[in-house]
Amino acid sequence: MNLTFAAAAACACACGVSASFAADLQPMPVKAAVQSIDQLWNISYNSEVRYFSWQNTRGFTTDVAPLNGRGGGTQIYAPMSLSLTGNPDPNWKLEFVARGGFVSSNQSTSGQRGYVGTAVDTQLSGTATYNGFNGFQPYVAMLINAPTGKSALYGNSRFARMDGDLVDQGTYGEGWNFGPTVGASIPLTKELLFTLSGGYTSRGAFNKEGLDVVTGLVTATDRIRNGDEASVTAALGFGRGPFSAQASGSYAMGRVSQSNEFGQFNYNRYQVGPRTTISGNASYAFNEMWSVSANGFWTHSERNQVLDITQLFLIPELFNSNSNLYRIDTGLSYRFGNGVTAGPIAGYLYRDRNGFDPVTFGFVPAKTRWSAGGVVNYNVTNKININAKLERVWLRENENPGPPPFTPLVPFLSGDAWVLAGGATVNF
Amino acid sequence: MTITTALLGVALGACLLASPAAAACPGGEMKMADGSCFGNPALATSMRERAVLMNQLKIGYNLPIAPRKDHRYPRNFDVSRFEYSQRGNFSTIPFPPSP
Repeated sequence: MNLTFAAAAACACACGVSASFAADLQPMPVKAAVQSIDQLWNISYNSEVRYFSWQNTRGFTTDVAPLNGRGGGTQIYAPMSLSLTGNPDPNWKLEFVARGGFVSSNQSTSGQRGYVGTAVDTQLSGTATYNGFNGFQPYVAMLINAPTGKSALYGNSRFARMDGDLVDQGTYGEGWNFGPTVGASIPLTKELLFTLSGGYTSRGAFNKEGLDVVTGLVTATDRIRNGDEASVTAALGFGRGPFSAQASGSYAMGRVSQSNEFGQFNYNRYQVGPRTTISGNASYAFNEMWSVSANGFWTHSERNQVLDITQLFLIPELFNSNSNLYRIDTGLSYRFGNGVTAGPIAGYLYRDRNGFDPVTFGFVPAKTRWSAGGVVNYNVTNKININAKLERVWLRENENPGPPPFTPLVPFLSGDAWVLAGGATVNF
Repeated sequence: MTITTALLGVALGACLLASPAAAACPGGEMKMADGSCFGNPALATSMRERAVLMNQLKIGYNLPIAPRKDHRYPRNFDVSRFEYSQRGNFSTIPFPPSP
């Protein structure tokens, strides 16, 4: 399909294969050294290849001319991660994760034909946990987003951005982001755990394609700096026998987002309202064969700050244009005697808001997403697991009311997608 | 950067200045108030991951986790759809349309 993705797939396969071969082909003295290190460090490599094919009644974005004709697109996404966990000291636990991948996206809607093939941004994570105290466990973490993706999509390639509810990657790059977090875990009983933590996300500037006002072509470059965010999170976890559950509540406050406009480098564009997020998951094993799991979240944001009529000052928007979002994913699995685990999965997402914001001229349609499918897992050895998933997605988005007299600018929209994924996890 | 430095300083200071307590638990996991070991290390690890990620939902459009965990946490696109319609990492420029 393209060289970028071919190289990505080859890299994903080669990394996993070469790593497992390397473990088998080590000469004895080196093998002994590796085993000694293994007592301190665990290494895990996980990679998947996912294929998305979608179609809907409008394309994406939905308000681009021509406003008729069906839309469609495909995406192949190959994420991969390498995790390293160890206890170099009895009282310290260190965890590191590096994640990257490659994506190839194509939209072939009338008026919105675009293609992009690129590496995605790389995420790095490091967490240090101190276990020397009785009754609580402090930890500190640093997360980093490295801009290895493509944030500026000039010309028609910008139309390769697609609906994030239909594909995994709705965008392909942003800037350097740094996110420190500190927190502590407090065991209330041997089965019940409480955590309290706080974090700050510093979001760096990056380039974005812009409209050249002279030529009318999308060849100019804008400089964007999304607002930083500070947050606090409290969580409870419980585990007893075959039952396990977690729940968390977070509150986040964002700062002003800026771009280069009107001759200014740091022109204030908007400020996202404070956000509350409730999330959790639960699982229960009925016996050695049957188990069920669910995870979900709810988010709510307060009103945003947007530019007033003079385009100079930020003021609260007239009504809250942010949707409340509800999502739940469930799965039932059955473990066969030969090591295969299989079962159905289902998911539901709902964005509740539908309205027209006369200040930002923004449209916020309500949206429903259903999904159903099945997953299969197989333990090839006690260190290698392979998995596959096939899923069908149905989506319906309410009509977008236009400016006064509020005639529907975009009628209700429906779409569907197939998701096919396969992957492997190798533990060393 | 001031906030970042302060957060790191508080965490490292708490860890370095406090004196160690009783012997470590197997696998370096946490201890209860009475010095016994917490009974569910996997839960502790998972809770720590949740706490970190829920404070960093905007670290990028992907989270630094294994791909097999991708649907366990909200994504950047999920938590602030408003940004999707603005200039920034998510927005598109619909006009002029392609030929």
